[in-house]
Amino acid sequence: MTKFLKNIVEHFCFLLVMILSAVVFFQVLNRFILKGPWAWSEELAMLLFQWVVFLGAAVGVKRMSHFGIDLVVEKLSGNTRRCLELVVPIAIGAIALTLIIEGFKLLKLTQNQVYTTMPFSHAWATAAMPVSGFLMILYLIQREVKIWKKKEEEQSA
Amino acid sequence: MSTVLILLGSFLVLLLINVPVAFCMSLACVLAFLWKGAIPLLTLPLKLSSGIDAFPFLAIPLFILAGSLMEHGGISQRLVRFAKDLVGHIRGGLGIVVVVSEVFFSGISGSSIADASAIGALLLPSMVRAGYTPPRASSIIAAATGMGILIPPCLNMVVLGAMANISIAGLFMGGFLPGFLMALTLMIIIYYQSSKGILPGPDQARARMREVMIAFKESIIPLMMPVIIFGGIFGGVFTATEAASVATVYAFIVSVFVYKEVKGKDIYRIVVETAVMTGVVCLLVGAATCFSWILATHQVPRMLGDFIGSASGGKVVFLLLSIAVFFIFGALLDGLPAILIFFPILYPIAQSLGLHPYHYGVLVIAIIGISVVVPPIGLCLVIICSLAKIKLSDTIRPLMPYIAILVIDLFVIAFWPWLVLFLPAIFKL
Repeated sequence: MTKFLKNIVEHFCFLLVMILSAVVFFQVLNRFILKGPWAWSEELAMLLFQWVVFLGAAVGVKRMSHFGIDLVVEKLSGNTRRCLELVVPIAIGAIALTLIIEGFKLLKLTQNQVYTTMPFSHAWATAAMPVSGFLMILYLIQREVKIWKKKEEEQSA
Repeated sequence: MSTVLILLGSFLVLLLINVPVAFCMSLACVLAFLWKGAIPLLTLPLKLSSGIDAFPFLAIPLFILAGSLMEHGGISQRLVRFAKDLVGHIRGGLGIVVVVSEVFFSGISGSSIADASAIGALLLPSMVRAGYTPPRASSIIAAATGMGILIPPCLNMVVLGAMANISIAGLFMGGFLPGFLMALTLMIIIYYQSSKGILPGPDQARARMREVMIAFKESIIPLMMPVIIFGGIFGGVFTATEAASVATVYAFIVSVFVYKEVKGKDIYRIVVETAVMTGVVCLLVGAATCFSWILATHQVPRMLGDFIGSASGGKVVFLLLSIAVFFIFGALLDGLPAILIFFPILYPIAQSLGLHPYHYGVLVIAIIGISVVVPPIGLCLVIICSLAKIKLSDTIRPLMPYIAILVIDLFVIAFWPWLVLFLPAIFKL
């Protein structure tokens, strides 16, 4: 159960991508075979896409999949390196915080914009950003704690 | 102007201390907004979400998923078998097999990284066994991967087209002939090296017609995928996103039900990895949208355009400059970030100089393709070298002739637009 909760964001990503693929595929089928207009499928797909992107980006922080240039830092050693390595989580954290605070403001602004084909507001898509920011910070803390614990163990051993 | 300096300066500094590119760009934007305080910070999330809010971007997760399913679904072995039977008996044998396999494989997968790891893992061992030194074998695979980016589908083309509002179908079609040119020149140079004794000779005796047919039958299922994608897109039946969707369903059925090589657990892993890759790529797209929006509001592209336009020989200088910029930054930053940062700046200039969007777009993709396999940083080269367990610096010398020939091809593409524009014109794209 705890394992399920630990990877719950990944489970959501899985579901979202599967539903997204299905929605787009049925839109294609619908256009060619059923010929009935399914106008909401495009807007629904875009809504799901926003969630895939921002949840995926958050898991990307957990797995450190976002690419950067490690050429300079690799060459350094000692305290300079340790200091510079701290900048990375701080920079990511700053953006995550911006996503939470400013994303929430944007969410309030989009509350009144209702989708043309679906009976709810754009805030449902915008919400992906503050959620993503929150998760990024969670993952960053988790990571730092893990690194810190490892150092403790090394010192005691 | 000081805002632009803050933006570029902070971006560079953050980049050098290994902050991921998407976060470098976002943070540089935040600092630029805070500097004068005239633009609300709200603009960042607004641009992050609006930058990817267009239907063509949906093709990104779908092409990643389709390619990844095919890659793990046991198709690469079958394609390589087919390529071996087709061209393995020619002088230069396995080297030529690499190039042909890459043409097939990149016609299915959309990413150079997937190509490099799939072809590398499959062909490196047999090349070494056949007498290729590991650095030479890696070099050939790297060069072929650089070429393969032009054979559609190509994720970078999807992003570039969706971002700059250029027809993705047109870019796909435009990539074919330049891709074939690169493949052909690579094969010629491999053939030449083999006849000089630098590379080993033929890989196997000429396969009998029957064997070729069997190998063809084995690979017909994966080879149907490009037929579906391109038949649909170029016939005007599908948009790129719809084609990507059909391709995903096809890849799913083939790898799970026909070849049965992808099991339940793998599906989960592949799908989650798709979401992560999509997030990584699209966050970058969104951040770049905000970044280049700030540059545009400060008239940077226009000033650069005036500057280049005032130089003599506008078009030639501009094309050479573009090659230099994308080559250097593609190698330093990786392909996608280089496109996202510089394409919005340079594309308006290209338009004002009267360059065709397909021509300029395909040229940029071609430059990027080569730049990601150039030492010392090229990401694809790193992957291949880690597969071959050699140092990156070992490949510098053997890679030279291939890079040289690819760069010559690049100039042909740059100064002979017909090569790109011929096929799109025929298909009225």
